[in-house]
Amino acid sequence: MSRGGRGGGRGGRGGRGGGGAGRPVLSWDNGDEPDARPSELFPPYTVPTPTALNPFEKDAVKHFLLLRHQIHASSLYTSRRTLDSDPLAPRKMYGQEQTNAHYGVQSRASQDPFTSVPTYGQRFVREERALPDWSRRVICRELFPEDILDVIEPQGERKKRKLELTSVNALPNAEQAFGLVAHGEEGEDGVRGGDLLERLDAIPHEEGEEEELEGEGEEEEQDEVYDDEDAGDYDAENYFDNGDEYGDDYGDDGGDGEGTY
Amino acid sequence: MLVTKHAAELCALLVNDLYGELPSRILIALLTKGRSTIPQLVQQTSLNTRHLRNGLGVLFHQNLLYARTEPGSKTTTYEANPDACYNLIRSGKILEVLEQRFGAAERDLVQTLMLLGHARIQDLGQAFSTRAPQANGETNGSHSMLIGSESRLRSVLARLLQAEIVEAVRADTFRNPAEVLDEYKQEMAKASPGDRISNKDKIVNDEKAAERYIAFRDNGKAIKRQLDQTRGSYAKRRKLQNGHSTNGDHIDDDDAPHLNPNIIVRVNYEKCLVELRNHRLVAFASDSIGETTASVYRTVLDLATAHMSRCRIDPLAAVKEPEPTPITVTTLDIFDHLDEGIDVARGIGKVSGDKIDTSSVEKVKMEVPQSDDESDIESDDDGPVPNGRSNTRPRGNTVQHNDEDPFSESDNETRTKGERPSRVTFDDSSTNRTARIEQMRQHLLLLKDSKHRFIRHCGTQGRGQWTVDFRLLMARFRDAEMDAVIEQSFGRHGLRLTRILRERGKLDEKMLYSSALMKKGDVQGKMLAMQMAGLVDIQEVPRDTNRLANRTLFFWHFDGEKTQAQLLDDIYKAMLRCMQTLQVERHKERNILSFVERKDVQGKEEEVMTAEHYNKYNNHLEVQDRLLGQVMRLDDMVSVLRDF
Repeated sequence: MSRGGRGGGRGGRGGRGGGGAGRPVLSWDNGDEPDARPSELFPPYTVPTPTALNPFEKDAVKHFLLLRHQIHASSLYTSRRTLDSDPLAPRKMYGQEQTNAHYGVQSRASQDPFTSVPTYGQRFVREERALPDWSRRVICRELFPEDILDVIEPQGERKKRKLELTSVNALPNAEQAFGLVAHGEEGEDGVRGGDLLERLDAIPHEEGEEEELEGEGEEEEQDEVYDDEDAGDYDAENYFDNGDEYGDDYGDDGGDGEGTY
Repeated sequence: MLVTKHAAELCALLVNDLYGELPSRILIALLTKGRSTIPQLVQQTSLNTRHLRNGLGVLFHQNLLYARTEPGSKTTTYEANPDACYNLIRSGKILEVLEQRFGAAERDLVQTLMLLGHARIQDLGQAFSTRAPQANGETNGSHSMLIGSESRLRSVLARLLQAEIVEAVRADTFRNPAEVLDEYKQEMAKASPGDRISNKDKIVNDEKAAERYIAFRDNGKAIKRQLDQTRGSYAKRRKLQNGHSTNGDHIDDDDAPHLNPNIIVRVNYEKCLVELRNHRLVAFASDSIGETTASVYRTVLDLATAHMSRCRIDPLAAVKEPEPTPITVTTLDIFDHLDEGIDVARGIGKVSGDKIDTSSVEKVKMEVPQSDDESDIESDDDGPVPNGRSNTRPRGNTVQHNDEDPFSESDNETRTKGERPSRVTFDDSSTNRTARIEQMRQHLLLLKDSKHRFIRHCGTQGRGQWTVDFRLLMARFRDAEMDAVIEQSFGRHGLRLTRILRERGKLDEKMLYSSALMKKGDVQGKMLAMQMAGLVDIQEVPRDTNRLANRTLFFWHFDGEKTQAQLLDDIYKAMLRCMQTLQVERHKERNILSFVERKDVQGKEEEVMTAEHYNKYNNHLEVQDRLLGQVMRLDDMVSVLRDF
């Protein structure tokens, strides 16, 4: 809470009680000393609570969120820091340089080594785009100014693009995301997701099951690669258990080679 | 739209939220530095040209920019379009209003257009006709309502074009209208002979330029006029359909008109605002009078605004464009368009004839009243009515209406009619046409006599003609909104003082506290607090040349326009804070959110699918709804103060 400028104003006007006669008589002067005490830092305040949303507002919010979701799913959405930078960090910026430095913080140099190791699950995280992907967009060429046209639709590749409608037509709600909805009530995607989850839940550790559900050749190959690696994966707990052995080995060898030092 | 710091930040944050970081970053630079070319933007943002062009492409594709290429040179200057950016927050409301007014198919099409920015009719037709049937949203169970074929698309699109919700786009639509007008003015000045242009010539030139500007502006509506000619105007069609369209207004596919496939269309937000205003007024009428009356009002507004393409007169064309002649609708017209499902016998009272002053009820006011003050003073004593749904209504009885007052005195026989209309109407078979018209007229009279004066009785043809004085009505609305804010922040006394100042103009302090019947000290405290908030101000008028303090008069005054501008900025700030809070909330729950957004929920389900996370996610959704709902309510205020 800022206290700037409060209370300091008229502090210097001391000798008031004695010489009332020297000052002009003003209509608004009722003789009271102005209250120069510092105001309370956090005055009591009844926080107003908004009323619940009415059905119209609820629907409007839902439409807005759906639109947002659709835009995010479209190929023009670019995000690099939306969820990663801390919005609570001080955001006051002085000058253009600081502002620019604020952006683009997520790069190779600023990667978090603890989370940047690729994991299997990350394959399903929506990829983040630094630049919009124009290749699947239909462009009305005559509208765009010349100098951005060659970026969004290079002159060379003028194959006919087809306008695609968004495939997103429902918001993810908690029930769907966590697979809690009964099967009959759901849409196509939802049923599959819920089904998948349930089956996965039943057999959580068998990798083979997942592969079957996947049903995509390319990904299967990938999985096999992962499977092969499973055996030789980095295992933090066991890694140093063998260390003694190595040490012993080394010690044995070292016994012979001590003379070299 | 005046772009203050907070408005600019709000626009950038909205764009960031919807379209991502890159466009938002460029938008901030454009908003703070004004119109720039790409090399200038490179300097300001230290982005490379490839990024810049991509970002500008996104902004341009979503109609958030003005662009202008000088005919001679190759360079293009870009300028942010703050109104379009701000309108993003309204998209949810617009979609909902359109769904209520037109139907799910129209909403679907407008949503697609919002998503695409603008699109060619040909591409739209191709996309909609090849849309996979299972993608059609079986979750809603409304498969048949959505667009599945090209002819259906054309008929839906034609409907929206005729209602002006959708407009055609040409390359020069993306120019800043103010700039276009300036250019026309310059051309006019060049064309006129002589070195010095007389004042008279200048006015003539300005008018000519404004005329050309109007032609330029309405160019996108040519297709609408064409459709009006071939298909009959929108209002007429609605009338014809009204008979057989109880469940969703279906247009038969066979009357799909031929549309030029090369036309590019986009959403026309100005007309959408008119629809939003109608919705707002109806909600207000519903709160202050009653639901049935509100649905009658809905019909009146639909008819009155069918050909109104914007809420206010375009300030750029004000020289040439006269105040629009108020559109009058007759009682019979309203009756023909009224939904037959509405029971008009509800919501009106019956009073014995001798208690009603018929002549004053039926009084016809032909002229547009010039101001509010002269016509009725008696209704001024009611407190302000804020948003209409907020819980801060000062007194419970604002809903009560003058006409209903006699209820308390009238005897029980007459009351039954008002309270249990369905039973009574069943008995005396008043569902026939004349009785229905008469009852509907009662609603219209209620609307007319309300203290907000929703409509004006302006003629006697067709069993009465009615019109809506939007300018005055919205001015009252604005005042009510401001009163509510002042009362919230400075209490009843503060409101009283500002109202006195508004009514009387500039006032000496002595006059002020004597007319407010308040103590001197109280008045001083309140006025100082309000001065610090910038609501009221002091003007000094020296009595002689010495300018001594005791020889000077001090007048308090209240500056409505300034207060309004300041209030708007405060609202932008509040909206901005809500959106920022939402970002913080999203950041807090980012793990769960990114989990939900994954293409397929897999791999982590054991740890994540716990009740704890489920509850967290649900809570987050609720918080998000409430924050966005609050932003939309604030936007309601912005609309009233700025746009309606």
